Amino acid sequence: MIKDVFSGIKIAQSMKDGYSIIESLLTSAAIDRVFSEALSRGGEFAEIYAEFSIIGGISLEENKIRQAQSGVSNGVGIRVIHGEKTGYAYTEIFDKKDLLKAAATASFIAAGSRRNKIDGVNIRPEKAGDISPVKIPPDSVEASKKADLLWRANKAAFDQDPRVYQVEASIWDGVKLVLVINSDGLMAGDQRIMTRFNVAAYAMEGNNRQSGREGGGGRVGFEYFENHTPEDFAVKAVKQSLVLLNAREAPAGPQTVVLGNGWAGILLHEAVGHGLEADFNRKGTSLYSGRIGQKVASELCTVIDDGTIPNLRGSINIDDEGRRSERKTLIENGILREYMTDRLNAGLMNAVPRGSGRRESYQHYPMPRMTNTFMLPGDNTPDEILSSVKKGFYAKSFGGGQVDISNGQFVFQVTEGYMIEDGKLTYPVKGANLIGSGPEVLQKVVMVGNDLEYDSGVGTCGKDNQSVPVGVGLPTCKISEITVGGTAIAGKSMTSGGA
Amino acid sequence: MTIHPEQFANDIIRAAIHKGADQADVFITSGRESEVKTRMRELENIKEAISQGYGLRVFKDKKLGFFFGSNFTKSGLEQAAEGAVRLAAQTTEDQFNGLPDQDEEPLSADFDLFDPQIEKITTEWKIEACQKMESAMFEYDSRISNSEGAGFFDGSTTTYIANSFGRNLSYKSSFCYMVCQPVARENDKLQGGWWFSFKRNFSDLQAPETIAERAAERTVRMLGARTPRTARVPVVFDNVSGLSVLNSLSEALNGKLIYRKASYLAGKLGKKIASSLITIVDDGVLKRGLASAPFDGEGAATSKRQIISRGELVSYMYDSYTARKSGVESTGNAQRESSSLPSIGPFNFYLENGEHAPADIIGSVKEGLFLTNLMGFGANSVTGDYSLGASGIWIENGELTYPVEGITVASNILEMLQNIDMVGNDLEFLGPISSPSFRVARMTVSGA
Repeated sequence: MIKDVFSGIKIAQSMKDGYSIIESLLTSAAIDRVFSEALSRGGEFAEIYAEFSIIGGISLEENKIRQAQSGVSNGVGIRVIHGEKTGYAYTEIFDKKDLLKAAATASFIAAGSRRNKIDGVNIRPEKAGDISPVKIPPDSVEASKKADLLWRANKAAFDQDPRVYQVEASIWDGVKLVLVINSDGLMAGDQRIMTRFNVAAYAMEGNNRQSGREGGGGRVGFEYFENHTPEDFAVKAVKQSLVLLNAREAPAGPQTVVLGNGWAGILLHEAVGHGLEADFNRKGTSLYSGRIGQKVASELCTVIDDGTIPNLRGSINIDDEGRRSERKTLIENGILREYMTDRLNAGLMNAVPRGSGRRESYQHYPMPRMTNTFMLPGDNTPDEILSSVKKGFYAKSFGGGQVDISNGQFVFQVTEGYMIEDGKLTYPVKGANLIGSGPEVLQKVVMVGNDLEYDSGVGTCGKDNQSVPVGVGLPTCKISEITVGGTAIAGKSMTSGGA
Repeated sequence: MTIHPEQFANDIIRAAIHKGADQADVFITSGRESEVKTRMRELENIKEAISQGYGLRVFKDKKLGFFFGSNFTKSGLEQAAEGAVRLAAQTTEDQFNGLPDQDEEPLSADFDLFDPQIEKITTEWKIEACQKMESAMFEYDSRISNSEGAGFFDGSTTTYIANSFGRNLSYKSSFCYMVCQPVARENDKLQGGWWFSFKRNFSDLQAPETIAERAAERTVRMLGARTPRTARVPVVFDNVSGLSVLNSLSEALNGKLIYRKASYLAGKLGKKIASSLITIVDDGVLKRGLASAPFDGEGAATSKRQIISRGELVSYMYDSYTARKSGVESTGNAQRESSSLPSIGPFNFYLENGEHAPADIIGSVKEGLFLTNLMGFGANSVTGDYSLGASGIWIENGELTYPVEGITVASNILEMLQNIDMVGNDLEFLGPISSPSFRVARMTVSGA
């Protein structure tokens, strides 16, 4: 049966052992035994999640390949659901005894007395999809070839400007094989490949030191570097550090803000994304709870979460409950349309699970999570948007963000920003954050560009101590007012200088 | 056949040397963890985990390779040893690579890090404790009508480290953690909050009711929050937001960032970088300390040392590589998990108590911010630039008045350290990093 699941895809070399292990361990009889044990106390749903993963990384610092590493992480998690309750246990040892032990532990969430064996589950294998085809799996590429990319980035960064004094570069990649089987009879699998490249550059002028970072990747293999060269990343990182050498203090207080396209989609991720995850809304703890059909953003805003876009970092063929990944319209022309649902919360909310149940690994139970979250493009060109601003702030590159889903307060870091005067960029500023409340800020989206772009493939989202890879996207957007958290109060701005 | 970690540690080192490594060490953790969560007083989740992992570091021709895994079998250790040595060949020779000097065997001192009681706590007791927390928070204020749940987490771990000099060390540790997360509503607006107790020993945990009341108090006082006008004012960090500042500071003390001039603290050793009220300690040997350990991630002895002494920067943090490279002695600050190479970080890192009661610090402020929560990422280790999302309570004429949100606080960490003009006497060891309340004379608060 497992063979049927993976029949359509080419199993990566490093996953072949793992594949054989689950194939011989999870026979029909074994699956029946596990479900029988897992549901023995009255639980109504049980699930087996098996995972094999290998990751590798090489990094360069101070003109040296500092380290090369690899690691494997394999395990099986058993989940039992009883009403709103979840029992979870996992094992890293692939034998029947340990699997049954985990099933027994998870079964205890349902506190019923022990009952007899359940009937066998009629398993229906679903053929795995391949929305992110990869030409050259990273585990098939020699480490020395990956190291070459780091050397190229290092050279490009140093060659670009004499003020560059430190360069770091790293490449990380991995392959993960996932198999989900549940007591409803679903059996589905996925092979997930990931590649990520990072460069950091440090530039110095006098005592003024600044850093810039750039990276990219996604559900891609080594072929990615044909069109995304290490030199490109290095040049961008250096440029950012040089811009910051001349940056002044960021303004403090409300400003008209233009968000550049791409990674600024982190605004959506924080401002609305988390607040639309079904678990918070089922519990009524999100400020978006009970607001389906209501206007929660300006009519220019249509926000999508889509796990099916080829090769993006947040894309998945199936979610970690085995359900096919989908495209969901969360907000349509400002109206809240739907939450992101997993099986448990959809069941409790009378909704349909929409492929949003994700987990970091076999060590965790799934919960509703985002995949790739972005805003559909509007009508304006980026130039029109910029030139409409008399005085304001242009946020080009971003760091991390965070949100409190109860009051909607979100914050995200601007790593490269400029002041706007009379529709033109004037000088760069440093050290700013943007803060606001999700619905308030989205009501203030007054122009949306025609230049939707996805981020370069470096996003990782954390929730309840679980990290999953995600993507974001945004066209250039104008927000009529949002609080910029700099240090310079109007009229008191100073240059940072080299003092 | 699964091999016991202690034996496995020896075997994998031997295998690494056999495959050609000149030196090797392995870091192993083996333990159990459990979590119990309730929501609206009903059981919601139970999770049990038994987990083991190892990380093998090898040096060959002064080159560094690393392999991690969780397969404690003969074939697992062969794969790891072969993999680590093969990967090392891809890296650049570095004269400073290598294991720490082995002149000093870490003392087998008992820092009371393991409490056998924890494994005996029944699931029923944990569920009841969570229910008690939720009951107490609902009783505290009728506006607390919802909940993100209450939880009890605990675990115990045995940590092993072995190396090719023949060292094979281990210690046991435990933790227990209780958390309560109320959600309050007023005028159709929600505020979520939390409080927790995190300890090595069960007997040190706060009572469920005590945790719940503090969580409830912190939550309801934020109801009706508004955004104040942008201003430059004194900011009083409470002992929770204060520890976040210390956390940012600890990152910039990393010896690797120092010699690479990638920290705003580079070149500042021996200089006065903070107000004389500031003494910061890094303590790896604190009894029952949440970050205490008898040895660091490379097997080097841990210690207690001052980092900032009355405003003067007196120590950075090093592991063996960065110390060798910098020509100083290692401070034994290698932190390590089984799945990663050692990195540099603090143990129990805290600002020593000052003399002021927190109420006196608030009372000293004519107009300013009592800062209780920080959000986001905005502390730059290279420049010290600091800007984070914030919320708290506005102070007028020495009194807490109304709650505020939608603001950021911004400055530069070096300026903040110089501008701390009052330190509280309310240091609480809430976690690995701890701080009393303190007042920064002036920061930019961005708001409306």
